Amino acid sequence: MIAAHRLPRSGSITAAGALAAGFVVLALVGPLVAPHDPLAVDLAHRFEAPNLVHLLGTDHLGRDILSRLIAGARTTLGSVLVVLALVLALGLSVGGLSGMVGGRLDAVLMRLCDVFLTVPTFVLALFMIGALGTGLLNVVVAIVLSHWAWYARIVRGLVLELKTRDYVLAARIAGAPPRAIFGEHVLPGVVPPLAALATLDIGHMALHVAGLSFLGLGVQPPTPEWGVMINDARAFFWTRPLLVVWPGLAIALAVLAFNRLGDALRDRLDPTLIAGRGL
Amino acid sequence: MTALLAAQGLGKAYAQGGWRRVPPRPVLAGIDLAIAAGECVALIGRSGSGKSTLARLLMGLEAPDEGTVLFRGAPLAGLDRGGLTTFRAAIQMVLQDPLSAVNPRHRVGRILAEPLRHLTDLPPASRAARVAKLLEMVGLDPEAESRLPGQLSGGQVQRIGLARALATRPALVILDEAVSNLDAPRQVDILDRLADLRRRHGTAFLLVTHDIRLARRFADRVVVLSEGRIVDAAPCRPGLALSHPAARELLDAVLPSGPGGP
Repeated sequence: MIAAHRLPRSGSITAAGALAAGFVVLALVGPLVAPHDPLAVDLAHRFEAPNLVHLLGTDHLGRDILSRLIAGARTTLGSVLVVLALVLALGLSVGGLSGMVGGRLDAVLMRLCDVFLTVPTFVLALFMIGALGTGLLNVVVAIVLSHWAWYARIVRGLVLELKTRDYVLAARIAGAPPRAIFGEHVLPGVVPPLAALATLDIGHMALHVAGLSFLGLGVQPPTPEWGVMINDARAFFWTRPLLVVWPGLAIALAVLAFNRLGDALRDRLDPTLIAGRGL
Repeated sequence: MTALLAAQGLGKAYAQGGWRRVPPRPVLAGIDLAIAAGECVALIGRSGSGKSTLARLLMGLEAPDEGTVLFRGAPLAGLDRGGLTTFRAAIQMVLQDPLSAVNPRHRVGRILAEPLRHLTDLPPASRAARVAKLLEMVGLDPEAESRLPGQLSGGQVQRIGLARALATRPALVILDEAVSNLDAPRQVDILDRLADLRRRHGTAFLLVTHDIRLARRFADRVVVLSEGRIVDAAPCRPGLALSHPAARELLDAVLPSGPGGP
């Protein structure tokens, strides 16, 4: 851990960190800095090229694209945050319980994970939306259901590894009950690699939200969301390609930033993890 | 008088890996051992003789396949929550590898307070006082309390492990090769401190070691473990009279104390 801080800082990590932080800040304060109302239709000013009033131009309904992108950051990243919180909570409790208790409970919980892991995530998400109906909430549920098992498995593996440490044995000798052993000795070792993994997955999950919304299964128009914006712009791709470029660029940059950041975190905290987790 | 800690017919076997059904490999069989209050017993045997497994069984960290461990006459398996807390507070153990036995993220003060938090009902202020006293007992500066294990030397961390085991004023401390890994001056230092503790508090010790010199220096009697069985036992004074081949082997394995020495 101490040696990790001595790793050289690379420019791309700093840039990725700044970009990721920028997206998070945008998502937080979005409406305060947006120059226009993202929903305000102004048909007199449709398809405007970038200018001083509309910095990135306007779309087919005359809505300000920059404002929609900023509002979309909140929709996309906000839902990713909810997904991550739920996935981490489920993964930590199921994986933690499985690893700490072991035995039959472990076997049952892990077979349950296997069931979820056998279905490709996007297919499971499509199936869930088919069953639950479209909408952002269902997208969130679908992504949580298709991702939590990964986290449970990884948490369980980490717990099993940490449980064999001598200091856990020493804690048992010191009379620590299982709950204290988990909270004080095991969990602090689980969190850093899990944080790296979660950061890596932010981009991946943002793609899911945007992708499902692009297909018309998630966020519904006119709510500003990057995937929805691409879908809206699809019809005008040949005449107004910039309309696709802006939200596409936003998605690409966000995914890139969080991936790079997650990579850096992983390299620093635990280079041996995740290698076997083929995506 | 009932013994402080006793093993009756202890047996343990570990399952072997592999696809074919292989019978579990027996590690311990038919172990009978009793440790009285204030007594110092050395359990010696070469690597792989089952010493550490026996220590774990005696500590109740693993369940034996056969036999029982008795704490003041009561079987460990039958202890209720309160009884188990009393047992843990009374019987402590120092692990073999000092650095890996402490959580690298915890400061020394927290490490030493852990048994106090779980096994005693001392209020936080008294816990801090006890931690300071423990550091003094093992000869460490009071400032060590705010250090991380990584900032201390191996010998210092070993003394932290010892201090933790002494925190609850146990009646018996099991030292699992805990002294053997130190260099000779440190061994002497630690053993002197333990002997002092014995004199003042009547603490019993079970010294698990492969080093017969340590056993001779510190223990009242020696028990020899070989291939999972107790094969020989003898008091240390007047002279250590061991006859079993496994014991002879350990006796003969002692290096001369210096060049040209006996």
